[in-house]
This record gives sequence, C-alpha cells and structure tokens, in this order.
Amino acid sequence: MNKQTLNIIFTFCIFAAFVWAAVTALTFSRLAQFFPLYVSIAGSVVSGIYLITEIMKLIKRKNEASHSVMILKPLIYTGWVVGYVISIFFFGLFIASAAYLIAFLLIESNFPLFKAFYSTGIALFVMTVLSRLLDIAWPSSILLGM
Amino acid sequence: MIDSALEALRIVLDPSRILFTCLGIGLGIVVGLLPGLGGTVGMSLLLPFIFGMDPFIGMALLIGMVAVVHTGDTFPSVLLGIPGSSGSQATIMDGFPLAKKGEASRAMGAALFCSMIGGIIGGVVLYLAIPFAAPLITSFNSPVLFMLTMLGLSMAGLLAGDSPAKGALSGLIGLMIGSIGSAPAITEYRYTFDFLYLSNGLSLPVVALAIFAFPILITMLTHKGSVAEASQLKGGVLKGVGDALKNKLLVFRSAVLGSLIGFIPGLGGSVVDWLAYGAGKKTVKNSKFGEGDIRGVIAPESANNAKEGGALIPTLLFGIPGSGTTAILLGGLILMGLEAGPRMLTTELPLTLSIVWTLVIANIIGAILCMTLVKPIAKLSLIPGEKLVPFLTILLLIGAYQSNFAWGDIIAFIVIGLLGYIMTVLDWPRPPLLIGFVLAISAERYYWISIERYGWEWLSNPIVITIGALIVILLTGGSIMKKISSNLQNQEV
Amino acid sequence: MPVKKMYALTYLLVFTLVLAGCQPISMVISNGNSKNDEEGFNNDLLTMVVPYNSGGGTDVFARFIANPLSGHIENQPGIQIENVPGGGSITGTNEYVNSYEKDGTNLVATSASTHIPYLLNQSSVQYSFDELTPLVGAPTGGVVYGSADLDIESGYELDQVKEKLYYAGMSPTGLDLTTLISFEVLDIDSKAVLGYEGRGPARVAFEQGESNIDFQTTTAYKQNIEPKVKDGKAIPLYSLGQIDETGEVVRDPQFPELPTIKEVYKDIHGAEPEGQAWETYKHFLNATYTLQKIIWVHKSAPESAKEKLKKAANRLVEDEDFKKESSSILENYDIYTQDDLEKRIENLEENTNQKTIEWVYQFLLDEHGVDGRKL
Repeated sequence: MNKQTLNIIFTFCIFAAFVWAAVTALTFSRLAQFFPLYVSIAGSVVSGIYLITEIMKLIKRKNEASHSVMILKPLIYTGWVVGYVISIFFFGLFIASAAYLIAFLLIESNFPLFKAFYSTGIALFVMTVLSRLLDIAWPSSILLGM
Repeated sequence: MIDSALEALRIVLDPSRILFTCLGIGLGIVVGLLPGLGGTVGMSLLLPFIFGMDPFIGMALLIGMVAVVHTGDTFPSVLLGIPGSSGSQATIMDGFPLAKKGEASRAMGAALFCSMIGGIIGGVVLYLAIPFAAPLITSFNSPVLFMLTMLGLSMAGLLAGDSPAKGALSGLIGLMIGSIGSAPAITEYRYTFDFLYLSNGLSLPVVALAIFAFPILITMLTHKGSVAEASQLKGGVLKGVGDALKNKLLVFRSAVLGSLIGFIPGLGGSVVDWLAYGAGKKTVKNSKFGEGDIRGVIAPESANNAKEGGALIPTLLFGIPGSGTTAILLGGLILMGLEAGPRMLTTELPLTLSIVWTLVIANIIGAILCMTLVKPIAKLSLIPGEKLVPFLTILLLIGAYQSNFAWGDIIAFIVIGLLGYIMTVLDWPRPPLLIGFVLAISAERYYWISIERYGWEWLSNPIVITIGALIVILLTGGSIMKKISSNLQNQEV
Repeated sequence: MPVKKMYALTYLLVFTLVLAGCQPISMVISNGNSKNDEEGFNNDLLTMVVPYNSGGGTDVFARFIANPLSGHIENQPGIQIENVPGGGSITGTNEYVNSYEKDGTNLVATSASTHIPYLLNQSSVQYSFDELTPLVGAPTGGVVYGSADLDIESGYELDQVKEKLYYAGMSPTGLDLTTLISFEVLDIDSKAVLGYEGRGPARVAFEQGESNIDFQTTTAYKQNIEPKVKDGKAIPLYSLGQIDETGEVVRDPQFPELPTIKEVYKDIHGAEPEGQAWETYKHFLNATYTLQKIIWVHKSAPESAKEKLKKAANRLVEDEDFKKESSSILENYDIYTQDDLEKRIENLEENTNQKTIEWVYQFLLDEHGVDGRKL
C-alpha cells in the first residue's frame, strides 16, 4: 500500500483514539481527570491538524515519490509471534518454544533437518539452565500447568 | 572524612568481600545483557540471600550488581537496537547505526569505557555530596520537580527528527499510555477496561522492549539481512576508547549531569540517558547525532552509570527510593538489620563509604570484563535476521514476562510492539513516546500537587521561571542564540 | 552458512558461561521465588504468597517470619516466598483465594493496603476475611506531628493553631485514610494535598515546608522525626493509638509518653469522643495499624493442617530468640498469639457494617471528591 495513504489512516486512528480518550476522561473524578483530559485534548488538536495537512498534501499530490509499504510479510511474521504466544498459552513455554523453533528454522530459515533440531536442543538447554540459575519465571499454560 | 574513606577502602578490599562484589558483578552484567531484565530483577534475585548477612558483604553483593547493569546492557542496545535495560535506550540512537556500519566494536569500546568513567564519577559525586545532601534534597519542592519533568519532556522535542508534528504526537501518545492505571492522587482506574493487570499501569521494561525490540524482530525478517550492512567488522574496542578520550569533556559533562539527575528524588532515573543524549546533541559541534555519531553513544553511556551513584543519595539518607532497584535495596538494608536514614552519615558512615568504593571498583572490573566479551559478541551483528530472530523472540517474550509475571505483559508487548512497528514503517520517531511514557506519572503528580498546594502562585517561583526559560531556549534551538551572538558581534564591530 | 550459525550458539553459550559465576549461591540456598518449580504437592515445602513486589515492607516481613515459623511447624517444612505483585496487592490476594490449592500448604501475607479495599467493599476484591484463618499478626503505630511554625507545644493546643494546615499524603483510600479520619474526629481543618509517591517523599515535603502537619509510622518516625523533635523543628501532636482486646483506643506501647487522639479530643472538647466518625476511626485503626500485617491460611484447609500451623504460630510468640531477632523488623511490637488474633479478626468482621462504609463513602465524597463506589 502507499505509504502516504497508510500514514493518513494511522493518523486517523490516533486521532480517533485521542478523541475517545478525551470523551472517556470526562467521566473520571476530579482528582483523576485533568491530566488525561489535557493530554488527550492536545493530542486530538495536534493529530487533527496534522491529519488535515496530510490529506491536503494527498489531494495536491505533492509527494509523487511516495514509497509503497509491505503489508503481507510483516503480517506473516507477526503471525509467527502470535502463534507462538498462543501455543505457550495452551502447551506451556517449553513445548511451545521447541515447536516454534523447529518450525521456524525449517520453514523460514531453511535449516537442514538435523541442524534445526540441534540448535533447538541447545537453545532449550540454555533456556532451562538460565531459568534455573536466574530464577526466571515462565508463563504457565492453562492445559499442562507448567 | 578522608581517613574514614581509606578505612572503608581497606574493608572493601578484603578478599571475601571482593569475591562477593565479583559475584554481584557477574549477575549484574548478565541481567543487563538480557533484554527485559534489569537491576530490579537482579535485586529481587539477590534479596533472599542477603537475609541476615553482614551488611558490608551484603552491600558488596548488591552494589556490585547495581553498578554494572548499565555496563552490560550496552551490548543489546548497540548490537541489536534492543534496550538491554531501561537505562540504555538512548544508546540505541547512535549505537545501532554504528553497528549497521560494521563499527559495533568501536561503539562498544567507547560505551564501555564511558560507562566505567561515568561510574567512577558517579561514585565521586556520591562521596562529595554526602555533606550537602540533606539541604540539597529538600530544596526540590513540587513545582520545581514539575518543571524538571517538563524539561525532560522538551528533550522529546529535540529527538523528534524532521517532522515536529509527528514528534509531538508521539510524545503525547506516550503521555497517554502513561496515564493508564490509577491516578497518583487516587486509586481510580483509568482506561483499564476492567483488567486488573492495567490497574497499576504498564511497566517500563515492557513498553521499552515493545517499542524498540518488536519492530526490530519484524524488520530483520522482512529485510532478510544481518544488522551490519557491511560484511566486515571494522574498528576495534581500542578505537572506541580513543574516541572517548578525544571527547573527555563530553564524558565528564554527561557523567556529572547523570549523577545530578539521579540525585533528584522523584524524577525517575530512566530519563537520564535521554537527557544526556539531548544535552550532548545540543552542545557538540557538527552534530551528526542519530546517524551513527560516536558522541551519541558517549553521552548517554557516561550518564547512565553515573546515575547510580547519585540515586543512592536520597535512598540511603532519606529512605526515598528513586527507582525500582533502589526500592528493593531499601528492603535489603532492613533484612540486614539496618535502616536508611540520617544515621547512614553518622554511625553507619563506614558502610556508606564502602558503598562508594564498591561502586568505583565494580565499575572498573565490570567494564574490563565486558571489553573482553566484545569481540565474540560483536559478531552477532553479522548473523542474518532469519537465523537470529527466532531465538531473540523467545528471549524477549520471557524478558517481557519478568515485569509482572502476568500474561498481560506478553499481550502488552505485542500490542504496543505493533504500534511501534507501524511507527517505524511510517517514520514516526519513537523516543518521544518512551520519554512521554516515563514522565507521565511524575508530570501529573507534581502538577497536581503544585496546583493543590500553591494555587497558581507557584508559577512565580524564581527557579520555576529559570527552568521555564531554559526549556524555551532548548526548544527554539541554537538559532536564537546564534542571532543574539551575531548581533552582539555586529554591535561590537 | 554453518559458520555463521555457530555465532548464534556462541551467543547463547556466553550467557551460560557467565551464569556459571552465579551458580554457587543459587545452588546452596533454595528458597527462591520461581514459578516454574514443580507445583505438585510436596510435604516439605510450604508456599507463602506475598501480593507485593520483593523488597517492600510486607515482603521483608514475610521473608523474616518464614524461617522461624517453619522451625516451629512439625517436620520443619521450608517456606518459599512467592511474589505476586500488581493491582495494589489485590491481584495477588485474589489469586491466592481463587487458584491456590486449599490444602494448608499455601499461606498469604497481607498488609493494611490489602485490608482497606476489602473494608471499602471495592468491586475488584474477591477475597474475604471470612474465608481465611489468621496465623501470625503484627501491629505498627503512627504518630501525627506538626511543624514548629505552628507555634504550639503539644497536641492539646491543636485548636489554637492560626496557620493554615497542609497535609501531604498519597491517596485518600490508602494508609492516609486513618489519619484523615482522625483529623475529621478532632475537627482539624487541614488541606490534604494528595498524590505524593510515598511516606518518604511526604516527609521531604514536610521538611521543605510544603506541608506542616504529617504522620509517620513507628520506625520512620523514630529514625527521621525524633531527631527533628530534639532540634525543635517538629512537634509530636498525638499518636494514632492501638486498639486493645475490648476494642478501645489505648496508648501505643512504643510511644507511652504521647497522648492518643482520644486524650487530645477529651482535653479539647471536654468529653469522650463518640458518634459515627469515632466508630469508623476505631474500625480503620484496627484494620490498618493494630492488625497491619497478617499471615493467613485458607479457612477451608484441612483441620489437621490448620492445627499444625496454629500451634506453630503460638509457639513462635513464646520464642525468645525470635523476639530478640525480630525487634527491628517488628518495630519492637510483639506479635499476637493465634487465639488472640482470631478473636480480633472476628471482632473486626462484626464491626464491619453498612453504616461505616456509607460514612466513609460520604466522607470521601465530601472532603476529597472521591466516589467510593467507582473504586
């Protein structure tokens, strides 16, 4: 997608968020209200003005050389992270990490089978050692409770 | 006091204590190195062990750890563009571009050397400040603290890049994210959508990781490249040390600035690196800050280690923790049978002085240890993205989880991370967001207290007016200054 | 490419090597707070949930009590501390009552800021004192003091203050609440500036003159304010007092020479304090000071397990070594015997009624513009 258009969409989202925040702030009590209210009003004004100038620029076609932005690829990679997190939620960190590493290394990094397993094994070992020594907490899963 | 200082040095150099200092240093470097883990994690890790320990040994352990967190955290900031802990965010600004040019070792060398010098200066400032500490701390009333947060926020303006509107919006988004959770003056929950997780607000490590690290994960994959665009690493550690020596004054200035800001209670040490970075950017000649200027690494790195010395003053003398790390340190003191307070300067003076020495010694040992690690670790920047990212993802998720041990940490990491990614793609500057986030609570707190306590009268406070003028000068930039000076020259002619 | 991949491994290995340095201490002492340890039932390990971050007052209290307490339990099981911070201690305590096994191996340590949301009936609170059996409890005290500029000699002259009073506090629904109600009882007209980060910053505000009436809890008062009293810069006004077995306000054993709020009231008004404000004050004083820190176990835990724990708690009270070692952590107060503590909690529960809550809500709304129902 065109970068300029995307920028306008993003700015609009920010603008909408600020307006929503300002309206919500009106319901807060006196002690909690002023700061979010000031900030969100300032945010609405600035983002509103910026939005208008950007739209004007788009109409006038000032920025001919606007780059296009990758959409699909970032989404896929975000999907990897989200998928990993979901599998942690179900299967626990250890199993999820093993599955994620092997899958990612094989599919995205084009590792040969043996090397993928080998590096996964080492990574899991290091993870375990680290968390034992440093007393690091792991997210627990709902299914296996580990 | 010099006699007691020497006596304290003798205590500190006792082999068994040095051993514990080294243990602390080892842990400090590791938690600094691992993204998401910082001094707070290190402290809570050590807390169970210091129970009932001899205070001198316990302090050797704790201070040894605290002193070097900001030495170790430089690695991920420079090499991967991921903040190793909340104190090294500004290092990314120029350290990461340097790593891209293949000059990671040089940047690391400069950073580590400055960390060491900064840490030593911080220790010296702590020592020198001991006699004046009490009157100085009580001279910061709420209106002054509010103006100081405003000064910090105006740094966001300096880092805005070429579009002021985007910079301002980014800062405002940060302030907005910072106001999630309960207000300072009342436990009313704002923008929490009834999630108890949000009731205390988001944690700084989560936001910092999300805003800087998550976009890196994705861009490294989409661009299928390694961090360093050059295929060869050039410049070594010693070159970096040389760079630092060439900029002696900048190192000194930044370190003093760092320890002074650490010293002010209630401002939060997390903006120190940004302030030093901004101040550096404003004061050096021919600044290429943001494009891989070695001075952009030197300024924040000198300041963040120096901060720890300053931050110990209010903690030890007043029992006011300036950060999460020092809050746990207070608990540690109690577990060793001590209580922070004015007594730290009278009956417990030897302990306080031993802390000064430990700070200095730990900084030296830590920096040297890290320098030996630079060569192997710098090669990280040559590994292609798709081979590094899966490991990093795991590391970052676990790191983010350490803030509250809650699923909310991970979800917040991804959601804010996506925001950060979009901002990266669209060239919105991200540092203002982080500065806004860090200062949001202080800004709200001190503004509210100033108005409640003094009405509008506080605006007439001379210190407030001075800082206000400083902010205006900062924001309008050097242009006015130049005009004035050229006018003066014209008049003289 | 295999060479480059090796770097990734080097990277991970470097961590391991550095970590080896931290190994000795971690291995020797095993009462850490990891969550990933096996969660299975283990006779020799009890868990104490601390709904605060490590290093805070309650955490220090819990860690301190853990060892001596375990020494008095049969088989001397280890007690590991588990910090579950967040939500101002509500998150962790909720989690304790909801998802920790009620088999007598899980304990929880709470503090005044856990008790207040419960007393105020806040919607996010899912725990109730009814479902918990108290084991160990310790009090703290509080002293209200004023600046020398107020030009008075003691609390008895509080009605002669001419200057405008400023009070620096954190939040009207935190520990400040008890002090704020005490002002209401005494009819002190002070402007409460709330929003400070903690008692420490509030104390600095007092030193700067930003506030001129303040309170501190026992240790902080002795450490930081008593020297100022000696220098003539601060004047102790009254102590918040302690609640005795009969529910009355008595002098604080740590400040036997200081009048309580009750005596000050009598001297100024010539009568005993009474009315809803006074009843509410006593109720909150009890929950936030006299019963400030409590270690509990699920009430529905097996009787045998509970009996063992109760016995241990009672033995701990008589332990002379513990008394000696604990003086600095417990601020020289004594912990309660388990029977005494259980009775005190029962009394507290009986005194909780809708009238008290209504009064506090009205007080918060009128004086501080806070709607308690929204909390």
